[in-house]
Amino acid sequence: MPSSTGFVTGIVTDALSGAPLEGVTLTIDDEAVSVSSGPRGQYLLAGAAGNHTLVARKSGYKRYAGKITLLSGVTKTRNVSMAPA
Amino acid sequence: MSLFPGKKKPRPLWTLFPAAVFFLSTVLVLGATGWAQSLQSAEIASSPNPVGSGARALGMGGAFIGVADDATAASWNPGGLTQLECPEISAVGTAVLRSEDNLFPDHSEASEKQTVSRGGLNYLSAACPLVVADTNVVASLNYQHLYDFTREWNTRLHSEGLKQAWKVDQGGGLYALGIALGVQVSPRLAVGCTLNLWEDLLYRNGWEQVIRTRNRVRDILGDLHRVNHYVRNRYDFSGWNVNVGALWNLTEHLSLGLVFKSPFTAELAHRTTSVIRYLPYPAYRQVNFLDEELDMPMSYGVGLGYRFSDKLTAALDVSRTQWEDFVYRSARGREFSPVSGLPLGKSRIEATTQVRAGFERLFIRPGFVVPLRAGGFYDPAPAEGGHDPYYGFSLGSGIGVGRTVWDIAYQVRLGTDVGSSIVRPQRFSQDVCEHTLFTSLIVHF
Repeated sequence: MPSSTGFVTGIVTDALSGAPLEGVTLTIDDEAVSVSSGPRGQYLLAGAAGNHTLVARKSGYKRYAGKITLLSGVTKTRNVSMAPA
Repeated sequence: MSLFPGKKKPRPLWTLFPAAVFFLSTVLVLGATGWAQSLQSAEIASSPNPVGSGARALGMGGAFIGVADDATAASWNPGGLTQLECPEISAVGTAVLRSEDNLFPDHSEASEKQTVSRGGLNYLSAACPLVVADTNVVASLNYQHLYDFTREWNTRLHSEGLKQAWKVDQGGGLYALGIALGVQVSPRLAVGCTLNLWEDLLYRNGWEQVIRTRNRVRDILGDLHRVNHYVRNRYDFSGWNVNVGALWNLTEHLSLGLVFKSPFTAELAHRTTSVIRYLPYPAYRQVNFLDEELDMPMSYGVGLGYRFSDKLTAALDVSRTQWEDFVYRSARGREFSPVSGLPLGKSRIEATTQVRAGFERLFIRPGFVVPLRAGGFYDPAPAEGGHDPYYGFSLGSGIGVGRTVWDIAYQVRLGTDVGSSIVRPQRFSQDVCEHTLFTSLIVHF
């Protein structure tokens, strides 16, 4: 069952202040399905196990893209630091 | 603010980005990678080694390269086709009951026994002996089911912050239309060739895997999310290869068979459908089409047949499949092992050697013949870092009356502590027990 579901969760923060960022759009591989970070900067994304790119966007900040490997039945932690544009 | 005021603990609104509403309908992305980027391994449920067909041959443990004296010779050793003395047609059916006793050492909740069964066509053939320029020639047309992908799993997996329920349905098969020709080149030596066309004909040539997971997962701050994920991967397989064989009658009693099954690159038309739903919000569906390739490995074997008398024949086959050349090539040109899903550079898959032995004893009575057959085999499957040992035995019988022969064979294939390549990254093994019933009907003209 090599392609079951894996997860990634974390907190999105401002790279300068370290404050949590709400309303950041996060996707896997820039696909259609996206989530938005919560009031404490938290997010959770699901995807097929395998190699992906985690992408985060928010107006006023530089686009974030980082490689991530989702593993079947595993929740990974990936905190995202967004640099102001 | 809550979208669902009736619920005690509504799911936070932040989990879905409003702009994504645009994608609520089906999204068709040609050539995109997305969900399909994660490799699907080709999980062949049956023996992955390219064995031949027929209740008679399989009743002898599948040791038939050095015997190959009926219409199934095209699948075992086309060099044996010239032993057919009259036109014949044959059909072979099969029924399989497979159980997998799965062990997840770190997840006792997932350690369960899974069972699946299927039945269907195993082989069809028509063969006709001819004399061309004083040379015995046999032409035959064959349709063979070589690989079966049937598998069903229902299981649960719990880990820190995650409860996951899986339902896996996998089905399909690979079939080849074989056009074969055997030629008697000398009184003791015959050669033959089968051109296998792996295309849709009576059945779709390919397989499909559907994985449904229901997940209850906590994010980094402990909030609970419910996520349903449906992934369907459908592969349509096409290509061609050849089997080349020779049968050499070393003595009046002893025959030597050689067979080579060529490697080939199959085209894989891969359609992947992914539906993800962050409950209670609507589902998002995405469909991708990808053109991929699968390199099928070469296989070769040698077989001995010894006829003690007209009533007793024994056979021994040794064959080898170069599984290290079994390669999945993604639409982006990346290469992976279909056995484990690992990138080719990180995968260590080795060739496997199969050994098969069996005998046939004929009880000839006025008006009919009853055979008794038995055999055993060692049929390892490729695995990461080595191989999975599978063993088995078979028993067969039947009856021949006039121009009609009916055969039946029962085969058991067992694997203990195998399958560690199937589930990653979890530690996993399984005990496999596969019961197969073959039945053949052959009519001579």
